[in-house]
Amino acid sequence: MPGVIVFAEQRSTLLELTGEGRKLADWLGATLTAVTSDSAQEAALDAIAHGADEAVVLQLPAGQPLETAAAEFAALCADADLVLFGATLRAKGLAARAAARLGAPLAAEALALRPQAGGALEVDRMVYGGGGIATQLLRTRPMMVTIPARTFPVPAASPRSGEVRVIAVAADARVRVVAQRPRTQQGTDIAEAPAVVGVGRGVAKSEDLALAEALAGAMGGAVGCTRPVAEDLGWLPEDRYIGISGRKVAPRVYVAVGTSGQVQHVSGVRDAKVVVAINKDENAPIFKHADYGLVADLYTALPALTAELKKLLG
Amino acid sequence: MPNIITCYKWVVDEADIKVEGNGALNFERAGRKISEYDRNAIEASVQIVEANGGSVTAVSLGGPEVKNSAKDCLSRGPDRAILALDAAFADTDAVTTALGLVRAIGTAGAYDLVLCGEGSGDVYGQQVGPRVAELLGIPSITFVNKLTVTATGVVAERKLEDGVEVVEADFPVLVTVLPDLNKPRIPGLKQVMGAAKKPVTVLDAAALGLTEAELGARAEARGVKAPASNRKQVKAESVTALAEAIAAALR
Repeated sequence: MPGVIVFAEQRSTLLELTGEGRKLADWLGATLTAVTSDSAQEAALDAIAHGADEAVVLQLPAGQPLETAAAEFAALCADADLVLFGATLRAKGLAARAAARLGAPLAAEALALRPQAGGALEVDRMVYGGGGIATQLLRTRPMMVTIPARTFPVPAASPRSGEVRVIAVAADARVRVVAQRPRTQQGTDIAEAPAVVGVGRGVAKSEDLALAEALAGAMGGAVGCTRPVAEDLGWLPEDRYIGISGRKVAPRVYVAVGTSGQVQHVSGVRDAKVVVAINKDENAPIFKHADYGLVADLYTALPALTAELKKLLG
Repeated sequence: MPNIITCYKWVVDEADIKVEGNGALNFERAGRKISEYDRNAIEASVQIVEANGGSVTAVSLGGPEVKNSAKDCLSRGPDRAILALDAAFADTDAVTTALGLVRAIGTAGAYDLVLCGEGSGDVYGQQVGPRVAELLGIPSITFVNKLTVTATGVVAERKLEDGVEVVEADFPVLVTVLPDLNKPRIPGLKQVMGAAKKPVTVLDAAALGLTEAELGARAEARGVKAPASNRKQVKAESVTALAEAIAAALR
Protein backbone atom coordinates (compact mmCIF):
# COMPACT_ATOMS: atom_id res chain seq x y z
CA MET A 1 0.00 0.00 0.00
CA PRO A 2 1.54 3.36 -0.99
CA GLY A 3 1.84 5.75 1.89
CA VAL A 4 3.63 6.59 5.05
CA ILE A 5 4.14 4.01 7.80
CA VAL A 6 5.25 4.78 11.36
CA PHE A 7 6.37 2.13 13.83
CA ALA A 8 7.18 2.41 17.53
CA GLU A 9 7.31 -0.01 20.43
CA GLN A 10 5.99 2.54 22.91
CA ARG A 11 2.80 4.54 22.94
CA SER A 12 4.35 8.01 23.38
CA THR A 13 6.84 7.52 20.53
CA LEU A 14 4.10 6.05 18.31
CA LEU A 15 1.99 9.18 18.83
CA GLU A 16 4.95 11.53 18.22
CA LEU A 17 5.73 9.77 14.94
CA THR A 18 2.03 9.71 14.04
CA GLY A 19 1.97 13.51 14.31
CA GLU A 20 5.01 13.97 12.09
CA GLY A 21 3.89 11.12 9.80
CA ARG A 22 0.54 12.85 9.25
CA LYS A 23 2.30 15.99 7.99
CA LEU A 24 4.56 13.98 5.70
CA ALA A 25 1.63 11.89 4.42
CA ASP A 26 -0.29 15.07 3.56
CA TRP A 27 2.80 16.43 1.81
CA LEU A 28 3.11 13.22 -0.25
CA GLY A 29 -0.66 12.92 -0.74
CA ALA A 30 -0.52 9.49 0.89
CA THR A 31 -2.23 7.55 3.65
CA LEU A 32 -0.73 7.08 7.12
CA THR A 33 -0.51 3.68 8.80
CA ALA A 34 0.59 3.43 12.43
CA VAL A 35 2.16 0.08 13.36
CA THR A 36 3.03 -1.20 16.79
CA SER A 37 3.71 -4.53 18.43
CA ASP A 38 1.50 -6.07 21.10
CA SER A 39 3.66 -4.29 23.70
CA ALA A 40 1.69 -1.11 22.88
CA GLN A 41 -1.48 -2.66 21.45
CA GLU A 42 -3.80 -0.22 23.22
CA ALA A 43 -1.96 2.63 21.48
CA ALA A 44 -3.25 1.58 18.06
CA LEU A 45 -6.65 3.27 18.53
CA ASP A 46 -4.95 6.32 20.02
CA ALA A 47 -2.75 6.56 16.92
CA ILE A 48 -5.87 6.86 14.76
CA ALA A 49 -7.19 9.63 17.01
CA HIS A 50 -3.83 11.38 16.68
CA GLY A 51 -3.78 11.31 12.88
CA ALA A 52 -3.32 7.81 11.42
CA ASP A 53 -5.74 6.52 8.78
CA GLU A 54 -5.37 2.96 10.00
CA ALA A 55 -3.39 1.02 12.58
CA VAL A 56 -1.72 -2.36 12.57
CA VAL A 57 -0.76 -4.48 15.57
CA LEU A 58 2.00 -7.02 15.00
CA GLN A 59 1.11 -9.95 17.22
CA LEU A 60 4.24 -11.82 18.21
CA PRO A 61 4.03 -15.47 19.31
CA ALA A 62 5.02 -15.93 22.97
CA GLY A 63 8.77 -15.82 23.57
CA GLN A 64 9.69 -14.28 20.23
CA PRO A 65 11.88 -11.19 19.92
CA LEU A 66 10.46 -8.21 17.98
CA GLU A 67 12.90 -8.78 15.11
CA THR A 68 11.04 -11.99 14.21
CA ALA A 69 8.37 -9.72 12.68
CA ALA A 70 10.76 -8.48 9.94
CA ALA A 71 9.11 -10.50 7.15
CA GLU A 72 5.57 -9.36 8.00
CA PHE A 73 6.76 -5.78 8.51
CA ALA A 74 8.67 -5.72 5.22
CA ALA A 75 5.55 -6.96 3.41
CA LEU A 76 3.64 -3.96 4.83
CA CYS A 77 6.40 -1.61 3.61
CA ALA A 78 6.89 -3.08 0.14
CA ASP A 79 4.98 -0.29 -1.65
CA ALA A 80 5.40 2.45 0.96
CA ASP A 81 6.95 5.83 0.20
CA LEU A 82 8.30 6.44 3.67
CA VAL A 83 8.72 4.41 6.86
CA LEU A 84 9.62 6.07 10.19
CA PHE A 85 10.72 3.97 13.19
CA GLY A 86 11.00 5.07 16.82
CA ALA A 87 14.69 4.32 17.34
CA THR A 88 14.65 1.90 20.26
CA LEU A 89 17.30 -0.80 20.15
CA ARG A 90 14.81 -3.54 19.25
CA ALA A 91 13.19 -1.39 16.57
CA LYS A 92 16.61 -0.70 15.04
CA GLY A 93 16.99 -4.45 14.54
CA LEU A 94 13.50 -4.76 13.05
CA ALA A 95 14.17 -1.79 10.75
CA ALA A 96 17.53 -3.17 9.57
CA ARG A 97 16.11 -6.63 8.84
CA ALA A 98 13.06 -5.23 7.02
CA ALA A 99 15.28 -2.84 5.02
CA ALA A 100 17.56 -5.75 4.06
CA ARG A 101 14.57 -7.73 2.76
CA LEU A 102 13.56 -4.75 0.61
CA GLY A 103 17.10 -3.78 -0.46
CA ALA A 104 16.31 -0.34 0.93
CA PRO A 105 18.66 2.16 2.57
CA LEU A 106 17.94 3.10 6.18
CA ALA A 107 18.96 6.44 7.71
CA ALA A 108 19.67 5.72 11.38
CA GLU A 109 18.82 8.12 14.21
CA ALA A 110 17.84 11.09 12.08
CA LEU A 111 18.18 14.48 13.80
CA ALA A 112 16.10 16.33 11.22
CA LEU A 113 13.87 15.55 8.23
CA ARG A 114 13.38 18.14 5.49
CA PRO A 115 10.93 17.48 2.65
CA GLN A 116 12.40 18.35 -0.76
CA ALA A 117 11.01 18.75 -4.27
CA GLY A 118 9.78 15.60 -5.98
CA GLY A 119 8.95 13.73 -2.80
CA ALA A 120 12.59 13.40 -1.72
CA LEU A 121 13.62 13.77 1.90
CA GLU A 122 16.78 15.38 3.25
CA VAL A 123 18.01 13.80 6.48
CA ASP A 124 20.70 14.89 8.97
CA ARG A 125 22.43 12.38 11.21
CA MET A 126 25.41 12.27 13.50
CA VAL A 127 28.66 10.60 12.39
CA TYR A 128 32.25 10.24 13.67
CA GLY A 129 31.20 9.86 17.28
CA GLY A 130 29.37 13.20 17.22
CA GLY A 131 32.22 14.98 15.38
CA GLY A 132 30.15 15.49 12.24
CA ILE A 133 26.62 15.92 10.98
CA ALA A 134 26.09 14.14 7.66
CA THR A 135 23.32 15.20 5.32
CA GLN A 136 21.86 12.81 2.79
CA LEU A 137 19.01 12.89 0.33
CA LEU A 138 16.65 9.92 0.28
CA ARG A 139 14.68 9.39 -2.90
CA THR A 140 14.29 5.70 -3.79
CA ARG A 141 11.24 3.97 -2.25
CA PRO A 142 10.72 3.02 0.45
CA MET A 143 12.64 5.76 2.28
CA MET A 144 13.36 4.30 5.74
CA VAL A 145 14.42 6.36 8.75
CA THR A 146 14.82 5.69 12.48
CA ILE A 147 14.21 8.65 14.81
CA PRO A 148 14.96 8.97 18.53
CA ALA A 149 12.05 9.33 20.94
CA ARG A 150 11.05 12.89 21.91
CA THR A 151 12.15 14.38 18.56
CA PHE A 152 8.60 15.54 17.76
CA PRO A 153 5.72 16.74 19.97
CA VAL A 154 2.66 14.54 20.52
CA PRO A 155 -0.14 16.04 18.39
CA ALA A 156 -3.63 16.76 19.71
CA ALA A 157 -6.22 13.99 19.46
CA SER A 158 -9.42 14.47 17.46
CA PRO A 159 -12.45 12.26 16.84
CA ARG A 160 -11.36 10.17 13.86
CA SER A 161 -12.11 6.64 12.82
CA GLY A 162 -10.04 3.99 11.15
CA GLU A 163 -9.51 0.28 11.03
CA VAL A 164 -7.19 -1.59 13.41
CA ARG A 165 -5.77 -4.73 11.85
CA VAL A 166 -3.95 -7.47 13.71
CA ILE A 167 -1.21 -9.29 11.83
CA ALA A 168 -0.10 -12.58 13.36
CA VAL A 169 3.69 -12.97 13.10
CA ALA A 170 5.01 -16.43 12.19
CA ALA A 171 7.20 -17.94 14.90
CA ASP A 172 10.90 -18.67 14.33
CA ALA A 173 11.69 -21.77 16.39
CA ARG A 174 15.44 -21.08 16.14
CA VAL A 175 15.31 -18.10 18.52
CA ARG A 176 13.60 -17.68 21.92
CA VAL A 177 13.41 -14.96 24.58
CA VAL A 178 13.92 -16.95 27.78
CA ALA A 179 13.93 -14.17 30.39
CA GLN A 180 13.40 -10.45 30.79
CA ARG A 181 14.80 -8.46 33.68
CA PRO A 182 13.41 -4.93 33.95
CA ARG A 183 16.00 -2.21 34.44
CA THR A 184 16.49 -1.52 38.10
CA GLN A 185 16.90 2.16 38.63
CA GLN A 186 19.76 3.03 40.94
CA GLY A 187 18.80 6.47 42.17
CA THR A 188 17.21 9.07 39.90
CA ASP A 189 16.87 8.47 36.18
CA ILE A 190 19.25 11.06 34.71
CA ALA A 191 17.13 11.32 31.54
CA GLU A 192 14.22 12.62 33.65
CA ALA A 193 16.18 14.94 35.96
CA PRO A 194 15.70 18.72 35.51
CA ALA A 195 19.40 19.27 36.24
CA VAL A 196 22.36 16.96 35.70
CA VAL A 197 25.92 17.22 36.98
CA GLY A 198 28.24 15.31 34.64
CA VAL A 199 31.46 14.06 36.18
CA GLY A 200 34.59 13.46 34.10
CA ARG A 201 38.12 12.21 34.68
CA GLY A 202 39.08 15.60 36.13
CA VAL A 203 37.57 14.37 39.40
CA ALA A 204 40.43 12.64 41.16
CA LYS A 205 38.84 10.20 43.61
CA SER A 206 35.53 8.40 43.85
CA GLU A 207 34.97 10.04 47.26
CA ASP A 208 34.89 13.39 45.46
CA LEU A 209 31.61 12.36 43.83
CA ALA A 210 30.02 13.63 47.05
CA LEU A 211 30.80 17.18 45.87
CA ALA A 212 28.93 16.53 42.63
CA GLU A 213 26.06 14.86 44.53
CA ALA A 214 25.76 17.92 46.77
CA LEU A 215 25.67 20.26 43.76
CA ALA A 216 23.07 18.07 42.04
CA GLY A 217 21.06 18.01 45.27
CA ALA A 218 21.03 21.80 45.46
CA MET A 219 19.57 21.91 41.92
CA GLY A 220 17.09 19.08 42.51
CA GLY A 221 18.99 17.03 39.94
CA ALA A 222 21.10 13.92 39.51
CA VAL A 223 24.71 12.95 38.82
CA GLY A 224 25.81 11.48 35.50
CA CYS A 225 29.28 10.94 34.09
CA THR A 226 31.46 10.36 31.06
CA ARG A 227 31.98 6.87 29.75
CA PRO A 228 35.41 6.22 31.35
CA VAL A 229 34.04 7.13 34.78
CA ALA A 230 31.39 4.38 34.49
CA GLU A 231 33.17 1.80 32.35
CA ASP A 232 36.84 2.05 33.32
CA LEU A 233 36.58 3.36 36.89
CA GLY A 234 33.19 1.88 37.76
CA TRP A 235 32.36 4.83 40.05
CA LEU A 236 28.79 5.08 38.77
CA PRO A 237 26.42 2.54 37.21
CA GLU A 238 26.41 2.26 33.43
CA ASP A 239 22.98 3.83 33.07
CA ARG A 240 24.57 7.08 34.27
CA TYR A 241 27.08 7.60 31.51
CA ILE A 242 26.14 10.26 29.01
CA GLY A 243 27.19 10.26 25.38
CA ILE A 244 26.58 9.02 21.91
CA SER A 245 26.74 5.36 22.97
CA GLY A 246 25.23 6.01 26.42
CA ARG A 247 22.32 8.05 27.72
CA LYS A 248 21.13 11.21 26.04
CA VAL A 249 19.87 13.86 28.43
CA ALA A 250 17.94 17.09 27.92
CA PRO A 251 17.88 18.80 31.34
CA ARG A 252 17.27 22.48 31.90
CA VAL A 253 20.83 22.74 33.25
CA TYR A 254 23.79 20.47 32.60
CA VAL A 255 26.94 21.14 34.64
CA ALA A 256 30.06 19.46 33.22
CA VAL A 257 32.58 18.97 36.02
CA GLY A 258 36.12 17.98 35.11
CA THR A 259 35.12 16.72 31.66
CA SER A 260 37.45 17.48 28.77
CA GLY A 261 34.69 17.91 26.19
CA GLN A 262 35.13 14.96 23.83
CA VAL A 263 32.47 14.97 21.12
CA GLN A 264 31.28 11.50 22.14
CA HIS A 265 30.23 12.91 25.52
CA VAL A 266 29.08 16.36 24.41
CA SER A 267 26.72 14.90 21.80
CA GLY A 268 24.78 13.32 24.67
CA VAL A 269 23.86 16.75 26.09
CA ARG A 270 23.14 18.60 22.85
CA ASP A 271 19.48 19.00 23.89
CA ALA A 272 20.26 20.51 27.31
CA LYS A 273 18.83 24.05 27.64
CA VAL A 274 21.87 25.49 29.42
CA VAL A 275 25.32 23.91 29.57
CA VAL A 276 27.75 24.97 32.28
CA ALA A 277 31.40 23.85 32.34
CA ILE A 278 33.73 23.93 35.32
CA ASN A 279 37.32 22.97 34.62
CA LYS A 280 40.69 24.17 35.85
CA ASP A 281 42.17 23.94 32.34
CA GLU A 282 41.07 27.09 30.55
CA ASN A 283 41.87 25.45 27.20
CA ALA A 284 39.59 22.45 27.79
CA PRO A 285 37.40 21.96 24.68
CA ILE A 286 34.32 21.66 26.92
CA PHE A 287 34.21 25.48 27.19
CA LYS A 288 33.41 25.68 23.45
CA HIS A 289 30.33 23.55 24.12
CA ALA A 290 29.13 25.50 27.15
CA ASP A 291 26.92 28.53 27.67
CA TYR A 292 28.73 29.46 30.88
CA GLY A 293 32.29 28.45 31.69
CA LEU A 294 34.12 28.75 34.99
CA VAL A 295 37.87 28.21 35.10
CA ALA A 296 38.36 27.01 38.64
CA ASP A 297 39.53 24.22 40.90
CA LEU A 298 36.67 21.80 41.48
CA TYR A 299 37.40 21.40 45.16
CA THR A 300 36.76 25.05 45.93
CA ALA A 301 34.28 25.89 43.15
CA LEU A 302 31.79 23.07 43.74
CA PRO A 303 31.15 23.66 47.46
CA ALA A 304 30.93 27.44 46.84
CA LEU A 305 28.50 27.00 43.95
CA THR A 306 26.43 24.52 45.97
CA ALA A 307 26.16 27.00 48.85
CA GLU A 308 25.15 29.87 46.52
CA LEU A 309 22.51 27.75 44.78
CA LYS A 310 21.07 26.61 48.11
CA LYS A 311 20.60 30.27 49.02
CA LEU A 312 19.04 31.16 45.65
CA LEU A 313 16.83 28.08 45.24
CA GLY A 314 16.23 26.98 48.80
CA MET B 1 33.79 -26.42 18.20
CA PRO B 2 32.11 -23.44 16.56
CA ASN B 3 33.33 -21.95 13.31
CA ILE B 4 33.04 -18.21 13.80
CA ILE B 5 32.91 -15.36 11.31
CA THR B 6 33.82 -12.01 12.84
CA CYS B 7 33.10 -8.89 10.78
CA TYR B 8 35.01 -5.66 11.19
CA LYS B 9 35.27 -2.24 9.58
CA TRP B 10 38.47 -0.31 8.96
CA VAL B 11 37.38 3.22 9.86
CA VAL B 12 38.85 6.70 9.89
CA ASP B 13 40.24 7.50 13.33
CA GLU B 14 37.84 10.25 14.37
CA ALA B 15 40.43 11.67 16.78
CA ASP B 16 42.53 12.71 13.73
CA ILE B 17 39.76 14.64 11.98
CA LYS B 18 40.43 18.37 11.87
CA VAL B 19 37.64 20.92 11.72
CA GLU B 20 38.23 23.81 9.30
CA GLY B 21 37.06 27.34 10.03
CA ASN B 22 33.96 26.89 7.87
CA GLY B 23 32.97 23.69 9.70
CA ALA B 24 34.26 21.38 6.94
CA LEU B 25 36.02 18.22 8.10
CA ASN B 26 39.59 17.62 6.99
CA PHE B 27 40.61 13.96 6.76
CA GLU B 28 44.08 14.54 5.25
CA ARG B 29 45.99 13.47 8.34
CA ALA B 30 43.49 10.93 9.57
CA GLY B 31 44.76 7.40 10.11
CA ARG B 32 42.65 4.27 10.03
CA LYS B 33 41.84 1.77 12.73
CA ILE B 34 39.66 -1.25 13.38
CA SER B 35 36.36 0.19 14.59
CA GLU B 36 36.34 0.03 18.41
CA TYR B 37 33.12 -1.99 18.68
CA ASP B 38 34.44 -4.54 16.19
CA ARG B 39 37.49 -5.10 18.42
CA ASN B 40 35.06 -6.42 21.04
CA ALA B 41 33.58 -8.76 18.42
CA ILE B 42 37.04 -10.03 17.43
CA GLU B 43 37.99 -10.51 21.08
CA ALA B 44 34.76 -12.41 21.79
CA SER B 45 35.31 -14.75 18.85
CA VAL B 46 38.89 -15.46 19.88
CA GLN B 47 37.89 -16.12 23.52
CA ILE B 48 35.14 -18.53 22.43
CA VAL B 49 37.56 -20.51 20.26
CA GLU B 50 40.22 -20.53 23.01
CA ALA B 51 37.65 -22.12 25.34
CA ASN B 52 35.77 -24.41 22.93
CA GLY B 53 38.00 -24.98 19.91
CA GLY B 54 36.82 -24.12 16.42
CA SER B 55 38.03 -21.40 14.07
CA VAL B 56 37.79 -17.65 13.55
CA THR B 57 37.55 -16.11 10.09
CA ALA B 58 37.65 -12.31 10.00
CA VAL B 59 35.75 -10.63 7.18
CA SER B 60 35.89 -6.99 6.15
CA LEU B 61 34.66 -4.89 3.23
CA GLY B 62 35.91 -1.57 1.95
CA GLY B 63 38.12 0.31 -0.49
CA PRO B 64 41.57 -1.04 -1.50
CA GLU B 65 43.20 0.63 1.55
CA VAL B 66 41.43 -1.86 3.83
CA LYS B 67 44.14 -4.37 2.81
CA ASN B 68 46.30 -2.61 5.43
CA SER B 69 43.95 -3.79 8.17
CA ALA B 70 44.71 -7.50 7.82
CA LYS B 71 47.83 -7.55 9.99
CA ASP B 72 46.20 -5.57 12.80
CA CYS B 73 43.13 -7.79 12.72
CA LEU B 74 45.00 -11.11 12.52
CA SER B 75 47.37 -10.12 15.34
CA ARG B 76 44.28 -10.03 17.57
CA GLY B 77 43.79 -13.76 17.09
CA PRO B 78 41.65 -14.73 14.08
CA ASP B 79 43.01 -17.63 11.99
CA ARG B 80 42.48 -16.06 8.58
CA ALA B 81 40.94 -13.06 6.86
CA ILE B 82 38.68 -12.64 3.85
CA LEU B 83 38.74 -9.09 2.53
CA ALA B 84 36.14 -7.76 0.09
CA LEU B 85 38.12 -4.92 -1.49
CA ASP B 86 37.02 -2.71 -4.35
CA ALA B 87 37.16 1.00 -5.13
CA ALA B 88 33.35 0.75 -5.40
CA PHE B 89 33.20 -0.27 -1.73
CA ALA B 90 34.81 2.94 -0.42
CA ASP B 91 32.11 4.89 1.47
CA THR B 92 29.40 2.54 0.23
CA ASP B 93 26.06 2.21 2.01
CA ALA B 94 24.76 -0.46 4.37
CA VAL B 95 22.81 -2.20 1.59
CA THR B 96 25.93 -2.92 -0.46
CA THR B 97 28.09 -3.54 2.62
CA ALA B 98 25.74 -6.25 3.90
CA LEU B 99 25.41 -7.82 0.46
CA GLY B 100 29.18 -7.89 -0.06
CA LEU B 101 29.85 -9.29 3.42
CA VAL B 102 27.27 -12.03 2.85
CA ARG B 103 28.91 -13.01 -0.46
CA ALA B 104 32.32 -13.03 1.24
CA ILE B 105 30.97 -15.14 4.11
CA GLY B 106 29.62 -17.49 1.44
CA THR B 107 33.21 -18.29 0.40
CA ALA B 108 34.26 -19.15 3.97
CA GLY B 109 32.65 -22.58 4.30
CA ALA B 110 30.29 -23.71 7.05
CA TYR B 111 29.84 -21.32 9.99
CA ASP B 112 28.00 -21.45 13.31
CA LEU B 113 28.26 -17.94 14.65
CA VAL B 114 28.69 -14.52 13.05
CA LEU B 115 29.85 -11.68 15.34
CA CYS B 116 29.77 -7.95 14.62
CA GLY B 117 30.20 -4.79 16.67
CA GLU B 118 26.92 -3.06 17.55
CA GLY B 119 27.72 -0.27 15.08
CA SER B 120 30.72 1.25 13.33
CA GLY B 121 32.82 4.02 14.86
CA ASP B 122 32.36 6.25 11.80
CA VAL B 123 28.77 6.20 10.52
CA TYR B 124 27.28 4.22 13.45
CA GLY B 125 24.19 3.10 11.54
CA GLN B 126 23.88 0.01 13.79
CA GLN B 127 22.35 -1.97 10.95
CA VAL B 128 24.91 -3.98 8.99
CA GLY B 129 24.85 -6.86 11.50
CA PRO B 130 21.08 -7.52 11.39
CA ARG B 131 21.07 -6.90 7.62
CA VAL B 132 23.71 -9.61 7.17
CA ALA B 133 21.62 -11.98 9.33
CA GLU B 134 18.50 -11.28 7.27
CA LEU B 135 20.34 -11.94 4.00
CA LEU B 136 21.88 -15.12 5.44
CA GLY B 137 18.42 -16.17 6.61
CA ILE B 138 19.50 -16.62 10.24
CA PRO B 139 18.35 -15.06 13.54
CA SER B 140 20.16 -12.03 14.96
CA ILE B 141 20.64 -11.02 18.57
CA THR B 142 21.73 -7.39 18.83
CA PHE B 143 23.28 -5.24 21.62
CA VAL B 144 24.69 -8.17 23.59
CA ASN B 145 26.90 -7.68 26.63
CA LYS B 146 26.98 -11.30 27.87
CA LEU B 147 27.44 -14.24 25.55
CA THR B 148 27.63 -17.97 26.33
CA VAL B 149 28.22 -20.59 23.68
CA THR B 150 26.65 -24.03 24.15
CA ALA B 151 27.06 -27.19 22.06
CA THR B 152 24.18 -26.20 19.76
CA GLY B 153 23.82 -22.44 19.99
CA VAL B 154 24.16 -19.35 22.14
CA VAL B 155 22.60 -17.74 25.20
CA ALA B 156 22.93 -13.97 24.95
CA GLU B 157 21.95 -11.07 27.19
CA ARG B 158 20.82 -7.96 25.36
CA LYS B 159 21.19 -4.63 27.17
CA LEU B 160 18.09 -2.72 26.09
CA GLU B 161 16.41 0.52 27.21
CA ASP B 162 13.90 -1.26 29.44
CA GLY B 163 16.23 -3.87 30.90
CA VAL B 164 17.96 -7.11 30.03
CA GLU B 165 16.49 -9.55 27.52
CA VAL B 166 17.96 -13.05 27.62
CA VAL B 167 17.75 -14.73 24.22
CA GLU B 168 18.64 -18.29 23.22
CA ALA B 169 19.29 -19.19 19.60
CA ASP B 170 20.41 -22.25 17.70
CA PHE B 171 23.43 -22.17 15.39
CA PRO B 172 23.85 -20.54 12.97
CA VAL B 173 23.14 -17.15 14.51
CA LEU B 174 24.49 -13.61 14.26
CA VAL B 175 25.26 -11.60 17.41
CA THR B 176 26.19 -7.90 17.65
CA VAL B 177 28.18 -6.97 20.73
CA LEU B 178 28.45 -4.00 23.08
CA PRO B 179 31.78 -2.60 24.37
CA ASP B 180 31.19 -3.89 27.91
CA LEU B 181 31.22 -7.53 26.68
CA ASN B 182 35.01 -7.76 27.12
CA LYS B 183 38.32 -5.90 27.12
CA PRO B 184 40.08 -6.46 23.78
CA ARG B 185 43.66 -7.67 24.21
CA ILE B 186 46.60 -5.59 23.01
CA PRO B 187 48.59 -7.77 20.58
CA GLY B 188 52.21 -8.40 21.49
CA LEU B 189 55.18 -8.55 19.14
CA LYS B 190 54.79 -12.32 18.76
CA GLN B 191 51.15 -11.99 17.72
CA VAL B 192 52.03 -9.23 15.26
CA MET B 193 54.81 -11.35 13.72
CA GLY B 194 52.52 -14.39 13.59
CA ALA B 195 49.79 -12.38 11.86
CA ALA B 196 51.97 -11.96 8.77
CA LYS B 197 51.91 -15.74 8.20
CA LYS B 198 48.14 -16.14 8.38
CA PRO B 199 46.17 -16.54 5.13
CA VAL B 200 44.41 -13.51 3.64
CA THR B 201 41.98 -13.90 0.73
CA VAL B 202 41.10 -10.80 -1.29
CA LEU B 203 37.96 -10.67 -3.42
CA ASP B 204 36.77 -7.73 -5.52
CA ALA B 205 33.17 -6.82 -6.42
CA ALA B 206 33.30 -8.90 -9.62
CA ALA B 207 34.66 -11.95 -7.78
CA LEU B 208 31.77 -11.56 -5.30
CA GLY B 209 29.33 -11.46 -8.23
CA LEU B 210 27.98 -8.01 -7.35
CA THR B 211 26.13 -6.29 -10.21
CA GLU B 212 26.08 -2.58 -11.04
CA ALA B 213 22.61 -2.29 -9.50
CA GLU B 214 23.80 -3.95 -6.30
CA LEU B 215 26.69 -1.48 -6.07
CA GLY B 216 24.57 1.58 -6.86
CA ALA B 217 24.30 4.49 -4.46
CA ARG B 218 20.77 4.66 -3.08
CA ALA B 219 20.98 7.91 -1.13
CA GLU B 220 22.71 11.05 -2.32
CA ALA B 221 25.42 12.23 0.09
CA ARG B 222 25.14 15.97 0.67
CA GLY B 223 28.20 16.57 2.77
CA VAL B 224 29.42 16.32 6.34
CA LYS B 225 30.04 19.29 8.62
CA ALA B 226 31.14 19.70 12.20
CA PRO B 227 28.10 20.31 14.42
CA ALA B 228 27.80 24.05 15.00
CA SER B 229 28.10 25.00 18.66
CA ASN B 230 25.04 27.06 19.48
CA ARG B 231 26.28 27.70 23.01
CA LYS B 232 26.89 31.22 24.33
CA GLN B 233 30.44 30.46 25.57
CA VAL B 234 30.29 33.16 28.25
CA LYS B 235 33.06 33.20 30.82
CA ALA B 236 31.54 33.35 34.30
CA GLU B 237 33.20 36.12 36.31
CA SER B 238 32.45 34.58 39.69
CA VAL B 239 30.77 31.65 41.40
CA THR B 240 27.96 34.02 42.43
CA ALA B 241 27.32 35.11 38.84
CA LEU B 242 27.32 31.48 37.70
CA ALA B 243 24.90 30.47 40.48
CA GLU B 244 22.51 33.24 39.38
CA ALA B 245 22.61 32.05 35.76
CA ILE B 246 21.92 28.46 36.84
CA ALA B 247 19.10 29.47 39.16
CA ALA B 248 17.50 31.55 36.39
CA ALA B 249 17.52 28.54 34.07
CA LEU B 250 15.99 26.30 36.74
CA ARG B 251 13.18 28.60 37.79
